[in-house]
Amino acid sequence: MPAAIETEALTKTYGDVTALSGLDLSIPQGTVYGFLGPNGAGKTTTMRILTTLTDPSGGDAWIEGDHVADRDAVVDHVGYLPEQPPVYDELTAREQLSYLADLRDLGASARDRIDPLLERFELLGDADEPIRTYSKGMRQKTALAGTVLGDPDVLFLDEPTSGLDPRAARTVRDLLAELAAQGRTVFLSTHVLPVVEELADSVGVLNEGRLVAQGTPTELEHRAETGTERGLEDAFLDLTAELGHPGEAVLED
Amino acid sequence: MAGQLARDLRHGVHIATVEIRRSVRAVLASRRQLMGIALLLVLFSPVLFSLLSGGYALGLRFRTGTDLPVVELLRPQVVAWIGSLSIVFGLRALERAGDADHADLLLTLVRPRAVVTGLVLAEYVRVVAVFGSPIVAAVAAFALGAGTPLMIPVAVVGVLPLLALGLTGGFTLGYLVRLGYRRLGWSNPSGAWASLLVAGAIIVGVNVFAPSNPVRLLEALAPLGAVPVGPYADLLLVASPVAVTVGTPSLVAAGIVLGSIPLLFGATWQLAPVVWYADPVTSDGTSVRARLSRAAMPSALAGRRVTRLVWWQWVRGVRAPAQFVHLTYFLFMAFPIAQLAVSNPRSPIMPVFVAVLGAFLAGGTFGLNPLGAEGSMLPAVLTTPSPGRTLVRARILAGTILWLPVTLLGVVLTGWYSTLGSVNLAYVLVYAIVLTGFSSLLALGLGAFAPRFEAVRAFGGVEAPTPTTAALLGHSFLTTVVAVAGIAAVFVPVVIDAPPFAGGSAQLVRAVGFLAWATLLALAAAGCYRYTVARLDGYTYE
Repeated sequence: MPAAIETEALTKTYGDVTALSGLDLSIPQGTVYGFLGPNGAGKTTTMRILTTLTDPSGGDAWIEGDHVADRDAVVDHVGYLPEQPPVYDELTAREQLSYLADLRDLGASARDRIDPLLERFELLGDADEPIRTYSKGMRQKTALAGTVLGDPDVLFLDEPTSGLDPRAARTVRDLLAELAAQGRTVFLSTHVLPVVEELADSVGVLNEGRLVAQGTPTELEHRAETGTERGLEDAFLDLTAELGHPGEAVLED
Repeated sequence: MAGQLARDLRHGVHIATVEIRRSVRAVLASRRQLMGIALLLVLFSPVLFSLLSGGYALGLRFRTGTDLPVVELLRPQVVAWIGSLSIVFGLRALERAGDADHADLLLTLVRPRAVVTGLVLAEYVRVVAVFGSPIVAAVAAFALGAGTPLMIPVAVVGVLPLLALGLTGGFTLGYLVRLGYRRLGWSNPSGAWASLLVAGAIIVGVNVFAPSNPVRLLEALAPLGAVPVGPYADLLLVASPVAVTVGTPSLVAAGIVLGSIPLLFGATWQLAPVVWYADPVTSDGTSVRARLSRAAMPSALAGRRVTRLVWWQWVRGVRAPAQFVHLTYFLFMAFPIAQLAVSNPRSPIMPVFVAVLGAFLAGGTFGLNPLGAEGSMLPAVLTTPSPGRTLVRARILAGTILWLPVTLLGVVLTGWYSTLGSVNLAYVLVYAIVLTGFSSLLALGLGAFAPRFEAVRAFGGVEAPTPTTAALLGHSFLTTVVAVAGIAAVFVPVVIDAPPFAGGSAQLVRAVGFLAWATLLALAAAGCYRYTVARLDGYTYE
């Protein structure tokens, strides 16, 4: 069984700027992978490469065994929620989901999921209102519903709980846990560390384009060199402060 | 393979359907946009009426045939239409039509060629609606006049492939240009500037060098009739009173037209993903820092809040030039200037044209979208002390400081070179100042009345909150009306040698008339100022 996400020495440069440097990942199917890093660390670049939206400058990457150069094959596996929720202001939530179902060639059973999804995200009452009248949180929920509608094998989510109230954030966390239990892989980029602590099976910390730590949340919290129990937030702050000495901080499985 | 193609085409149709639905809803949802369209229809209804009545009258004349060499005249025009449409849609592809909203979403759902198909089909429907409808209406009027109604379906069937060819050719051209400036390493702003310049050069060049006399224009186009697609024109005349026997050249031309459409469509399938997936051209950190260090505020502007804001308007403008894409419309104003400069550079009307163009630019550059141009900063701007007065004054100054000196210099130079005379030149200089002030305030008033908040793809894939069509056309129309009135006030009394202008009273009448014109404009400008300030000070989110 191939890994859900696999990268080897994945690199991306823009002119003289290195956005991603030699990233090696192997994420098994059914994993929730928390992808952490400060702003500008290269997280979005990584997700754009893995979803085929950006070509790497070097290295390789595979999604469910398909190389990212084979866009047609990869897009059949992935669902991507960018940081800015992609919604069409002129459509209603129901129309947007129907549209995405059309583009995914989803069958009747998937279409039958539209209303339950809208209900789950508490959007059913506004499902026939134009999205331009929605709040930020409602837009985010609509976009997320569209991402999971096609039941993709691998979900790439960039700040999925951004703009959500605690109740909606809980709904999202429950949904992600369900998806993982069903064998879906979730690649989760977020700054909300409690979400990662709660959901992630494995965590990678990216800093200045390099993977500076990887392991379970518990392993990161108990950093090897100190042996003291610390929170994920403290570990994150330590790891991302150690510029230029990433190797010392790496915890490999 | 065939199954995948069918699937992509089906997805393309879905995308086109939603794109069109979104376009229609976006218009219907905005009362201001609807008003703008209504205004456009009112403004252009005389043109449409003359097109229909002229077509009908021509049909009556042609009912029994004509001696005119219709085929010889039409063949070169078919070639010119295809070329013109390709340029227009090349610019559209550069401007906005070549990119999809939420491309990240679409490109992770379907194959790129499905997205291209959707964009091209959506544009095709818009083209048919905007260009096809008046063409068919004119042909229908002609056909009814000529008593040959069968000509209407023939024209519809004949024109649709021409529009498709122009469209696919234009999209291919647009993507090639974007690839070209990527290869040159130009970032999006640089590419947008280059594209604007090229567009301007094409528009001005065509209008300056194309003969204004229709007969000479047809003569100049005549060699195009030899291009193999020219005989396609014969097919458009089938079922008309001037129909000719369709020969092999026409069938070959039809083959070329119909064969080129899928070829060019296929080219867009190849080119668009290369553009979309290409890395953005970014400057390295050094040059960014160098640019920022060069952007130090001049001490002359640093003393007052309003002049500091003027500076920031300029800085933002230089770094995001796509917001000025609407200024290309003012190039139409440059046609008469360029034509006069070629044909009669000493014409006394030259300085007046320069004054009017300067007024257009002074108002149009920073004035036509004062609310929307602030983008996501608008809440922060609105919560500053007296935002209306400060922002309005800053935008007035940003445009006038930039354009008024250039305009006055242009008026002086062209006036000195022309046969205008010193008194008339003095009048034109004052005329330029008054018109510039009016244009600046009118632009702000209209821009505040009909703002555009959402960024649209302006040029080369760059997004910017460009002014609404209503604001742009309203400003152009009203500025033109008052400019013509001003010209009449300045020149009519001294060129008409009849009472009440005859003799010494001409100068007095002129002075009084000009003063009245300037006073009316000042009052109207003051009204615009008060409205804009009040709108900004009292702006609340709906």
